[in-house]
Amino acid sequence: VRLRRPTTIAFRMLIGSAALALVITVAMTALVLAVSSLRRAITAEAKAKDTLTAALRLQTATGELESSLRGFLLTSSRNFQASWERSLRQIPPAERRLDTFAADDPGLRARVDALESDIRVYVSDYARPLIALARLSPEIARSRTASDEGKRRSDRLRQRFDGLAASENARTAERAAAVQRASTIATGSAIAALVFSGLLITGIGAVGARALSRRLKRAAEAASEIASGEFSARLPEAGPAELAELGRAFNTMAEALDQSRRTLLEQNRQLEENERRKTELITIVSHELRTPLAGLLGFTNLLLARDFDAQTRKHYLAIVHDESRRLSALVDRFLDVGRVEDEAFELQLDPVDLAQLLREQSELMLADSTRHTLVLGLPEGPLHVMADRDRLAQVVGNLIANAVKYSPEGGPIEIVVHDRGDTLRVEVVDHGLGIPAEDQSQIFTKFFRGHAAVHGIPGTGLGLAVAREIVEAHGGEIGFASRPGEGTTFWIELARAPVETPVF
Amino acid sequence: VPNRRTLLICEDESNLRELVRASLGPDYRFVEASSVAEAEEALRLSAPDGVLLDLMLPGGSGLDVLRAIRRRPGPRIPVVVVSAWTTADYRDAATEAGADAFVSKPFVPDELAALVARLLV
Repeated sequence: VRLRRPTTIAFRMLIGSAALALVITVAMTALVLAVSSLRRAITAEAKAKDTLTAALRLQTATGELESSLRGFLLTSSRNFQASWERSLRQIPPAERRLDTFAADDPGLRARVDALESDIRVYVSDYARPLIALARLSPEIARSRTASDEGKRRSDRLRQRFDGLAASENARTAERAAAVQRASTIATGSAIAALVFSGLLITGIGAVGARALSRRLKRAAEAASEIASGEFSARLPEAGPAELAELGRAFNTMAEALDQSRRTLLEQNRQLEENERRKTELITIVSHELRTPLAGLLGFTNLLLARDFDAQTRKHYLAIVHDESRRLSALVDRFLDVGRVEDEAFELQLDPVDLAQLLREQSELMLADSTRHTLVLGLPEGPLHVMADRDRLAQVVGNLIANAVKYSPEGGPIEIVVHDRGDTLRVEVVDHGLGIPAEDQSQIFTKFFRGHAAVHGIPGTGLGLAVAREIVEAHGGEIGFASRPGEGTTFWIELARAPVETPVF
Repeated sequence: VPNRRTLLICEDESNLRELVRASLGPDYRFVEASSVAEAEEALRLSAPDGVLLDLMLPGGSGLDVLRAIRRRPGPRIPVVVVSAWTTADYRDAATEAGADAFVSKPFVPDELAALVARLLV
C-alpha cells in the first residue's frame, strides 16, 4: 500500500534545482575562501620581503657606523667623524621603518627589540666612549680597537641581523608555499565546482527526460493498442503525480471504452438473436399456416374437380369450415403476439370460476387425444380469481396443450388446484419428455423452441411467452419444474377474488 | 377392385389423412398412422406397397421412419414425403434419407394421385 502521496514532476525538478544551487554555492564559497586566503598569503609574503629590506637597510647603516668608527680611530680624520655622525642619524629612521613591520608580529617584535637594544648598547657603551677616548688619546683608543671588544660586539650585531634575516627568509619561503597551496586549492575548487555542476545538470536532465520520455512513449503505445482494438491496454498508475494522473485517466477511459464495446457487442448479439428468431418465426408461421391451407385448398380442389354424393360433399365442406376456423384462430394467435409485444392488450377483470374454466379447457385440449387421461384435483369450496376470462382461458389452454404435446407417448395429465389462502395455485403436470436442462432458462423467451423440433413437436415458440405476459399483467406468477425424461409441472398463481362479488 | 395396392399414410392431422384418401380414390387400400410409434407398428404388420410420409410426427421425425423403411430387407418400396416444411434443406434431408418424391403442402389432389400412380407402376 502506497501511503506516501506521489510527488509531482515540478516538485522533483524544484528539489533537483535546489540541490544544484546548494552544490554551486558550496563550490563558490570554497573558491572565494581559497582566493581570499591566496590574497592574504600574497600580502604576508610582500610584508616579509619589506621587513627583510628594512632590516637590510638598518644593517647597512650599522655597518657604515662600524666602518666609519674604525676609520676615525685609525686616522682621527674629521671626515670619518662626519661619516660616523651621518650613519648614526640614519639609524633611527631605519629602526622606525622596521618597527612598523614588527608592530603586529610579536615574534618579530622581540627579535627587532633585541637587535635595537644591542645597537643602542653598542653606540652608548662602546662607540661613544671610544670616540671620546680617541679625542683625548688616539693611541689608547687605537689599542682598544685591536682588542677583542670591538670584534665581539660587531659579531653579536651580525648574528642578530643574520638571525632576523634567516627567520624572515624562512617565513617568506613558508608564505610562498602557502600562496602556492592556496592557489592550487582555489584552482582545484573552481574546476571541481564546474565539473560537478555540469555533471549534476546533465544527470538531472538525462534521468528526468529519460523517465518522462519512456512513460510518454508507453502512453502513446497504449493509445495505439486501443485504437487497434486491443482494449486491455493499461498504463501504470505509479510514479510522479502528473504521470500517475495521466495513467489513471487513461485507464478510466480504456475501461469505459471496453465496457461500452462489450455492451455494444452484447446488444449486437441480442439483435442478431432476435433477427434469427424472427426468421425462424416466419418459417414456423408459414408452416403453421400451410397445414390448414392444405386442407382448405385440397378439399375445395376436389369438390370443384370431381363429383361426390351429397353426403360426402357435406362432409368435405365441414372439414373446409373446420380448417377455416383453425386458420382464423391461428391468425388471432399471431395478432395476440403482436399485441403482447406492443404491450397494448387490455384486461377485462371479473371474478372467474377457476374450476369451471379448468374443466372446459382440459376437455377441449384432451378431446383429440386417445392416449392421454385427465386427472383433475380440485379442493372443496369456491375457487374464484379476479381475471380476464378469455386471457386466463388462453393461458390454461396453452399449458394443457403443452402437457399433451410434450408427452407424445400418452399418460395421465394432472391438473391440480392448491388453496394458498389469499392465492390459488394451478398446477398442470405431465409425465412426458421434460425440458432439457440447457433449455430451461429460455423457456419463456419468445420464439424459443429448444429441442421441440427434434421431437417433431409443432409450435411457434410463443405460447409460454404470451402466457407469462398475461399472468404477470394479472399480478400473478408463473413457473415450472421439470426433469428431462420424467415430465414437467407448470404452475400459475393468482389472487383470489373477494368472496361476496358475483360470479360470471 | 381386385389386387388393390396398400398405401401407408403417416400424418398426424386426421383431416389431411382423409384428404390423401379422397385424392387417391378407391384404387388403393389405406393403412393410417398418426405417430412414429403407429407408423412402425403398421410397417411391421401390413407390408405396404408405398408410403406417404409427413415430416413432423408426434414421437419423432418422419425421416426416422423413412430411414427405418430403407433399412428393412426386401424390395424397395416408393416413399413420398408430404410436408409443410418446404425449404431446400428439408427436401435435401428427405432425398438423402431415401425419399422418392417430395410434395409440399398444400398439394393439388390430382397431381398427388398421378405421382403415386407413376411410382407404383
